[in-house]
Order: sequence, then structure tokens, then C-alpha cells
Amino acid sequence: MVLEFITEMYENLRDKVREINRKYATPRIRMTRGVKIALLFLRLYLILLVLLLGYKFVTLLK
Amino acid sequence: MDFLSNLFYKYRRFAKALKLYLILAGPGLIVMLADNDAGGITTYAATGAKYGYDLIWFLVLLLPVAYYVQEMTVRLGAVTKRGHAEAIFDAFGPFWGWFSFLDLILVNWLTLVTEFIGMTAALGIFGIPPIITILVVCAVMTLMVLQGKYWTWEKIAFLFCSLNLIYIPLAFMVHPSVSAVLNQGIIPHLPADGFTNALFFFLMANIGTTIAPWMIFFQQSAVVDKGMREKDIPWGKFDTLIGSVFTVLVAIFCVIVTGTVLRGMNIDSAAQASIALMATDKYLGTLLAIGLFNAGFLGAICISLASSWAFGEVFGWAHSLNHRVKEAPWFYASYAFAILTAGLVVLIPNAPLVLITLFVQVIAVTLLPAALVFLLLLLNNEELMGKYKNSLFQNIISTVIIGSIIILSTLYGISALFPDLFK
Repeated sequence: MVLEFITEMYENLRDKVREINRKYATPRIRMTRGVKIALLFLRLYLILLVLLLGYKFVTLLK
Repeated sequence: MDFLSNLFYKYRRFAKALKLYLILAGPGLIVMLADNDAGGITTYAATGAKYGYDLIWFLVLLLPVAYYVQEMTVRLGAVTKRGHAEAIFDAFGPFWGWFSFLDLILVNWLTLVTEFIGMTAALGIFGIPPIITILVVCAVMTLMVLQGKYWTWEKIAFLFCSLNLIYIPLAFMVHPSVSAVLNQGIIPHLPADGFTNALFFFLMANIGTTIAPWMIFFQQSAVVDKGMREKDIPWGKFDTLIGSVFTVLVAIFCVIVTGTVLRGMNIDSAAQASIALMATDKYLGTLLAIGLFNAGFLGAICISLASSWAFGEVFGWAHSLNHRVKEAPWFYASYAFAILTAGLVVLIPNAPLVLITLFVQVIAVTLLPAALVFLLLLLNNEELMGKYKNSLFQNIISTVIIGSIIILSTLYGISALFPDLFK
């Protein structure tokens, strides 16, 4: 009973996420050079932060 | 006679404008005063205790920072009629949409926990057990949203906003030397020991408390829920300006209180400052503790709503305070879930509350730059914003401000990860 409920909830959520992904699949903003540079900067920034968090985690474990 | 009729005409115009402002006031004022949440008050109390009046000029500089970022959310919300979470999905696609949404939900929930920590610590001073505080706060927060009108919620929130101004009379009660405040506080200068690592840390902390990711999402969604239109933008901007002035005033007066009475003390929390103040004056400490509780409460009501609005926008659920529970069950369920779980975490014995507080700073810096950059890009999209897009002047100011916030908040987040780096 509980398992069925969880499975149904998971499937509903998965379908909803897919629907959202389809709805917003094409970004509305025009990808000018400025927008591309900004998004690249954000990606690099996030990679840097993830690396720092990873480094902190590893040093904490040591 | 002409003079009198002129005067009466001006009075009527002013009264009409004031009435209109009072109708349209809300999101800007509330978000700005809620910005002085439990974490913010702790930062200001610690700043005052450590540096006295020396950094008041720096707080004044934060006024345009807060205003220019938040007024962009007013224009974006009024023109697009969409919250920030939905706007990111729509403009930048699912990757950035999910990243911003999930990061927002996580950082908001963690910040909510810190607000509960502040509230339980404040009322703990009066001997009130944390469980009572949590239960009463959750009940009041739930009743506030269940009454079924955005307008009513806003007016109740105004009551708590006015309590946030408690630091202003409090500062007069400690009898600071006005000449000392003006001489040491207003003219930009460095404290006596120069530009140290500790000073840099405090400057970063003050910037970090001025703009938080939830503020961008909250104000834009609130503008949409309030039903503001393009013609209301000037009033929305004015409301944000008034809010920015108040938020900086509250910060300055809080610094004056601890800078006058607790100068030279190392303060770790506003609750500790309240206890220290009680030793000198019972009423002062009591009022500071009440102020801390209210700051946490104000932060909690706004942060939890920002999350629920974002949930509704992304999943396409009904998400307005004007809806009844039956009409928007998921909106209210996500709200109740967020506040109950955040409250329960504080009640867990030996929960890593200090770690959570540090974690908030780190997670916030992963979201803040993205939210700010998206805001700037959206405000430059002519197709979306039309005549309300950023002017060259607004772009120059916003880019400088956003660049500075990103650099300083990132360093602040890194300092939370590696505390010895700036000490």
C-alpha cells in the first residue's frame, strides 16, 4: 500500500518534470554574445564552487 | 486667499498621492525590512560591538545597492506578470531553471532554519522553551496565509515591519554621543587598526546580509500576486526606495546600540548581545531580544512564501494568497511543509545548527550570482521588457553593483568554508 503510493507519487512527479522540461525546452531569450558569455561565466563559477566544496569535504574527511 | 486655495490644493494632491502609495506600498517595504532578519541583526550587532560607529558610512553605501537590485524585480514582475523562478525557466531553459529553483528551495529552507534558531534563542532569554516558540510561530504563520487575501497578509506583515523599527528608539535610549556618531560614522574612513582581515570579513558579512537570493524571488512574486501593472512601476520603485532607506536606518541604529554599549566585545549572536545588554539595562536587553525575535519572524514569513510561490510558478499550481486552501492545496502544503520541517530541525537535540548557519552562506553564494545575472539579462531583453528595459545608466550602475556583490559574497562564502583565510 505504502509502496504503491510512493511509486505513484514518483511517477506523477517524473511526468510533471518531463512536462516542464518540454514546456521550457527552447529558451526564449535570444542567445547574443553577451548572454553566451554570461552563461559561460556562471558555469565556470559553479564549477569553481563545486571544486572548492569538494576540496573542503576531502580535507574534512582527512 | 489665492495662497490658501493653493495650499489646500497642494494638500489635497499630497493626501491623494499618499493614499495611492498606501494602497500600492507593500512588496518593497516588506522585503527590505525582512532583509534585516535574524542573521542580519546578528551581523549588525557584531559589527557595532567590534568597530563602534566606524562602519556606519559603509552601511549608508548599501542603500543604493539594495535599491538598484530590488527595483529591477518590480519592473520585471509588473511587466511580465511572472515570478523570478518562472522567468528563468522561460528565458534560459530547464537546466538553469531547475538549478535556480532547487538551489532556491534548499537555501530558503536552510535560511528558515536559521530564522527559527534566532527566534528560539531570543525567546529562550525569557525562559520560553523552543517547542512553544516553534508551535506558536508556525500557528501564527499559518493563520496569516489562511485568511485568503494577499492584501490582508501584507497589512499584517506591515505590523511586524513596524516592530523592526524598534532599534531606532533603542538607539536613543542608550544616549549615544551625536557628535561621535556623526564624526566617526558618516565620513568614510578605516577603523584605527586599519584594513585587517577581520575588517574585510565584517564588510563581506554586511554585503552578504544586504542582498539575499530569496529577496529577488520574493519581491517579484509579491509584485505579481499583488497584481501590480506597468503604470504602478513608479510607485513600486518608490516603495522599494522607502524600504531601502528603512533597512539601512535599522542597520545603522542597531550598530549604534551595540557600538555605544558593547564596544570592544566579540559578539557571536544577537541573543548574546541581548544578554550582555541586560546586564547594563534590563529594558534595553529585553527590547533587543524582542527585536531579534521579530526579525527572525519577518524573515521566516517572507522566505517561506518565496519558496511556495516558486513551487507554484514552476509546477503550474495555483499560487496566490488570494486563493483558498481548496483552490491552491499544493501552494499551502509546500508552505506548511517548509515551516514545520525547519522548526522541527531546531528541536532535534544536538542538531548541527552552527554547521547549518555556515552552510547557508555557502549555498547562498551558489545561487546569488546566477539570480543576479539572470535579472540583468532579463532586464536587457527588449522583446520582454519593451520600454521598461534597463537604460544605459541603469546598466552601468547595476553591473557595478552586481559585480561587487558577486565578488564580495563569493569571498564571504569562501571564508565560511575556510575560516582562517581572512582572519
